[in-house]
Amino acid sequence: MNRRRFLSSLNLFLLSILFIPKGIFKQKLLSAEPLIGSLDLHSFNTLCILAEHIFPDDHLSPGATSLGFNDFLCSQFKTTYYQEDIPVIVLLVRILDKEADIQRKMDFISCPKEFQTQLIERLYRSDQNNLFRHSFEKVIDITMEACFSDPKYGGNKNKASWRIMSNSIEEKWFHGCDCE
Amino acid sequence: MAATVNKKIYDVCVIGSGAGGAPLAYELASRGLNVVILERGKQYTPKDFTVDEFMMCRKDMLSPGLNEGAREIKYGDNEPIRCNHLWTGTCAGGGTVRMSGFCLPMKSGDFKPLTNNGRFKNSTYTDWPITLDDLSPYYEKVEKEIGVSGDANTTPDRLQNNAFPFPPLKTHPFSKLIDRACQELGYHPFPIPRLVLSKEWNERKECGYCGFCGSYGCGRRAKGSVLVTYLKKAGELSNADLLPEHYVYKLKTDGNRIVSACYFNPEKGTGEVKADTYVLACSAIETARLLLNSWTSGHSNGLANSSGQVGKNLAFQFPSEVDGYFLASLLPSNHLAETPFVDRALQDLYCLKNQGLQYPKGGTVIFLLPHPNPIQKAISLSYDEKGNRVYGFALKQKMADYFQYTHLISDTFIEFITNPQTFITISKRYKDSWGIAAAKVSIVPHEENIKTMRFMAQKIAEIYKIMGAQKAIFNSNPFTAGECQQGTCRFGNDPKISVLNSDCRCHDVKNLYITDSSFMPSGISVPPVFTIMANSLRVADRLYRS
Repeated sequence: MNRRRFLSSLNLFLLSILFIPKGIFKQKLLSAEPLIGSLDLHSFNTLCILAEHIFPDDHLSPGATSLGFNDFLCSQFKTTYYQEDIPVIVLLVRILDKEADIQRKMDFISCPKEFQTQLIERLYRSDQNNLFRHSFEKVIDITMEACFSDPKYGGNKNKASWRIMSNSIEEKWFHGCDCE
Repeated sequence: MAATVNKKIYDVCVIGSGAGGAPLAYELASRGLNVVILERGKQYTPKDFTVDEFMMCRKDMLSPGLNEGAREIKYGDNEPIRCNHLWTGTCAGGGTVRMSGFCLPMKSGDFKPLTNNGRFKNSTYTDWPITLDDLSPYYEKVEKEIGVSGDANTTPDRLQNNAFPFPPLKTHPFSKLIDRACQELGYHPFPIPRLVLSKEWNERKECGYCGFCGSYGCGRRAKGSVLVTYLKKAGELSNADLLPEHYVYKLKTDGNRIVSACYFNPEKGTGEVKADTYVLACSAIETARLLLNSWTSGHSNGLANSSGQVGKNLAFQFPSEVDGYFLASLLPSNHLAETPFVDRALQDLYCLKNQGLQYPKGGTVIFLLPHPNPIQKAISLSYDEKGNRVYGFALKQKMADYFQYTHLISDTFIEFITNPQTFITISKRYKDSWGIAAAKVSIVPHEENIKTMRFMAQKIAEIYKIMGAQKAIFNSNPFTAGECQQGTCRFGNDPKISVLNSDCRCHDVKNLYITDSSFMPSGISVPPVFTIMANSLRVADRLYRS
């Protein structure tokens, strides 16, 4: 009797997985426990996408992703330095997701890249979105910190971003400096 | 947790271990007084200092983070913001750990701005109750005790005919281009004296020419911060105690005199230190904040504030930064030289009489190569002329365009016209992480300062043009450069309009002295650190005699 009940429950469970809309299931996983400090995984992923828009890959240098933006976030969002910025980032993500949902019926990171670019630009330039503006500018600052800080923090892999700045004086950063 | 009261009663309790606190503390301890120095920040050693911009300049190693260092700041007509701007240096050694070490004394006319320039509209500056002659012996003492490198033959108004303790530092070939261009315009450029050793001395190494002076600690001890000079010597005395991570949040009084300094410490919790005499040297903003937060029924306007002047007359270094763009191909072949120091100063624009300006005071111009701060440079390039952000491919192209040039910038010390709209008081909205009311700062530059800033920028651009610059961009933001804050507890002979007497002793509270830059009753046109240290030694003399 117990075995029959168990198998029956198991069948129900397996069937339920098939019929639960994928979006909800995915969202439950994504909004599960905080990944980085108190930054949830969805906000983390959105932040990484935004960073690539802010500092993209081109012939001048690798973009934020290739430079290690993810690794930088993983190491630094566990510290207290960015704790006050987390609500700002979460707000930014919500604004982007809401706008994307209105126009495309999906969240921001699921949208095509061209749409993402246009949406960011429209929201940033719009006078109605001071909240977005302030939040996005904070993300620009975080992206610059990730891309131009010492590689030991996870970003700026191979000091690649410093090569843009490589010049007669700025060479010092690229080669490092012995202060002893 | 119950407060801990230190059983020892010191002769002198110095609050703050920077340019204003450390020289006085060492001087008094060396004369046999029992001295304690309460420092809010940590005590680092030179081995802790690296050229890591993220740690040293962005995080809270040398200045507090947003929670610990919360302030409410109103820039001009903008809405007040909660931020952690305008901190000098929160560590043993204070702002001297992060300074560039430019070392110039004031000139005799600087001590009489009211007499020389008259009462200018919407201004509050007053004459200093001392003269250059009062300060000169102490300038000389600081030079010898810290070690200054310079060229006595070219430095204007050299106080004595003797050479500087050390020869000038090596300079970049750019400096010769500057010299030629300035001389063509009839100016007299000179290598700026530096509180940096050009030769090894007293277990301190000579400068390694890394270029990471401004904003960074010096791992070689070549830069003469008070951490490696006065504090080090004080640490060798048995009658001097330096207590780092002791954040003084209130001064207790018995009505007439201060009886204890109350502090927070991460390990001990709250505590109190008792002394006969107290010296505040927390920086202009924090000293005023401490006094205002120490109000009692007998001092309802804040401690030592019967004049109403505590927090008023705040001044800063007024900037006029011009960024000169030079194509590398047009520079001398040796422009890739190892030394990063241009170190050229100009004081031909110090007085601006007959220049069509209503306020006839300019300042000191210092030419230097950009600070090697990649994060800060990237962030600054992400702004356009209107203050909007640039990002994406446009940002990357802007960076590439910018860095095809070599840059020369000007750091300018223009006398800030103190005015009623620039002051500090106590915030009703924000507190720091210990629950102490934050400072509320209002900054409104005087319109005549802005005119002077633009005038100086034009003159600097003329120099760049003769040097062969492709372009010169005016970069100045009149709300920047909070490091060189001055005023807020000015000294003077009239207790109705000053907080301190000419010995920097408080009119209202007889066992209180103030020796950070708060004592200054007007802005000054030179980097202030040399004057703060000299005055600290002068006050030590007065205090000891009293």
